[in-house]
Amino acid sequence: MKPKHILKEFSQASENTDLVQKLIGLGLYPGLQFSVVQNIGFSSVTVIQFDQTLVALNQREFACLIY
Amino acid sequence: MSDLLNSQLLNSKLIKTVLLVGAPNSGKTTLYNWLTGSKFKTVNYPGATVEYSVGGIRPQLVKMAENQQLADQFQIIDTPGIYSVNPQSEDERITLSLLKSELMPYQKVILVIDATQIKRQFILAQQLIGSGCNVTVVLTMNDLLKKHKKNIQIKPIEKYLKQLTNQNVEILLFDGLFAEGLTQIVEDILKTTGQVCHLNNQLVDNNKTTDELKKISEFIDAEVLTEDDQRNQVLEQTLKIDRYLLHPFFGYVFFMTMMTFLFASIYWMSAPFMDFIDGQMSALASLTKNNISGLFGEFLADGVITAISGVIIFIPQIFILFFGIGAFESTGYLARVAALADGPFRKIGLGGRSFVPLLSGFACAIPALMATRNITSKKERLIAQMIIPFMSCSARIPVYGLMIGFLFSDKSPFLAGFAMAALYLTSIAVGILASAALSKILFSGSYGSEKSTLAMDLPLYRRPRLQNIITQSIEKSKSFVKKAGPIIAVLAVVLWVATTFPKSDIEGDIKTTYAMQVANAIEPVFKPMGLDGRVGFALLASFAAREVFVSSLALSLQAGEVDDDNQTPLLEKMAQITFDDGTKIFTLASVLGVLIFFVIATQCLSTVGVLKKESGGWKWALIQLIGSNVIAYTLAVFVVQVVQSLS
Repeated sequence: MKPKHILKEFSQASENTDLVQKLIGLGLYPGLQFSVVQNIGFSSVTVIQFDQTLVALNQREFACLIY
Repeated sequence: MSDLLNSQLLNSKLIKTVLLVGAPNSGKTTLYNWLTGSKFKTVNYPGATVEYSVGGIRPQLVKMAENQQLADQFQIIDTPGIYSVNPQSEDERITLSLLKSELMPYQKVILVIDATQIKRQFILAQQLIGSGCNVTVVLTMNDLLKKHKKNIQIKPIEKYLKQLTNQNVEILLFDGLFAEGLTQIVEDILKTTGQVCHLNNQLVDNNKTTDELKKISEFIDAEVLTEDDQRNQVLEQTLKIDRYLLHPFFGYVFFMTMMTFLFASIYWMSAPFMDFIDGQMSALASLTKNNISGLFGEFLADGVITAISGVIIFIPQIFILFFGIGAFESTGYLARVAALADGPFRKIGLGGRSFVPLLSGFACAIPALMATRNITSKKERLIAQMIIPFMSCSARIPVYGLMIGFLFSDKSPFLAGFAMAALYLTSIAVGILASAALSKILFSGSYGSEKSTLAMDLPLYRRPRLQNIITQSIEKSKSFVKKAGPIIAVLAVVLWVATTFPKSDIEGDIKTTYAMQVANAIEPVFKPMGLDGRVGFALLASFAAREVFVSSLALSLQAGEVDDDNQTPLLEKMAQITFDDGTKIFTLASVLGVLIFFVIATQCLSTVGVLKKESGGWKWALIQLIGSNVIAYTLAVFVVQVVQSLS
């Protein structure tokens, strides 16, 4: 079993506005429980899982999640 | 795009427009296919429906005559997938423009939601219904829910939406496999009034949206879905498979093996089918010539049939390519390869989102260029657009097949298969080099600081439906023939005239013909490539469409006739023809030269036109066209000269 994390908030950096909207569009929101499934693509991509959903995020996108 | 939409409206009696809107992979395109009877594919990566589709309701779905008249008033538009009303990429912006009635008026939105992903996709229903659109919600993938013993409760959703929006919203279930629920959807569409609706301009507050997502999630868990166990098994299986397919090392090994097998199969598996077609077409040409005498018989046999057979003989290879890509897509593997490719792609200025457009480039550059709208970074998008023409599209298959057939013939089909794979890998290598160079040289300044986006769904693995893949591959192969057909028909006439007139007094002598006059004039350009004017003439004709090269070569070499031993006449002719000094034209060196030229050069003028449109002007399109041709020619000449000197 992969450890579960709770998404506390999105990073507030101004450059992240569009990115946060994209992540919300994919179904992520503060309070959501997720787990890190795998690091792939020479560790440049992180696959996370929440509910029955798998989402691939690059380093910048994953760094936007504060958990 | 708006011009095309307007012309659709002007040229038809359709007066009411229904937009099919939904997230990527929600089953939108499947519903569209059932409603309109069109043969478009549903794929599992973002940007699949980047080219929207327009169609009327299938007559079979509307039984009564008066309803048929009513149904004729409707047109259905399949829009690019969106997750919310905040567009992130070019294709998402198109959907939003449609919803805001900026491109054309519309009367209804059918919002398609994947019932298995309802928690995430429900937010779109809330945003659309709350902003004044006439919306019907269709829950798809109901078959999957049933299979996994999940029951979706409709009443609580209707109640929830009414509380939020003060509107009664129709919610319908649809099973994409057997079209269960389609009649109700058609009946709902026919009820649409003429009232035009549009999405209000609204700024979406991220905090409000996340609160709504949280509420939706709690509500759906509590009241809509029950019995999650079976679904979790699918997830567990997916995670197990991903341990191997997304492995930091074996993931790439598996991918490279699969691609090599696919590209080699294009040659191996198609061989018996191609031999069969070749035999039949040769017999037909012979029969025609024997039964229809005179110039017309010659025209049909040497012109039309030779040209047509030059295209249809390659249908098996093209079918195998589409079948392979379709199989990758329908299992959910393709999205994973995009994620896997992100790291390596980043080193050459691209990102994982460029993978699918680049892979599509192996089928045809035109839809591949349009699919780059899904890439959010301008720099990445432009680099992807510049290197897509290097991916070996299906139109190159006939040329590769002919040249490999000449080098290896039937002696070594095993080596021939690997040669085919090597050509594809060479085109990938050329693309990598070009991308790295463009990233470092051309785009380091103005676009240098732009951040790349990947964030994408990885769908759970599913068993592909073989029948769907076969149908889609047949449709795509047909589309290839339809696209190439008219060009080939016109060129067949032009080339036959050019290679037949003015007639010489000596039977079979074509030295006096227009084609040979042109060939003689251009021969100095092609001689350094080890080719004479006749081959150069065919190469020049291939700038109309690459696949024309084979039929043009057959005509310019006068290879239309069939020999008694039933061997491929063109290959035989290629082996026989010589320069005036008696040296053979088609040798290892010159064949390598032709292959290098076809791997690198951008010849397809339609591709240049689309590149101009997608890149925003002539600048990049011309750089691609001229640059690739100069490099292709120079490299081909270099290789030919080196190989000739060595041998």
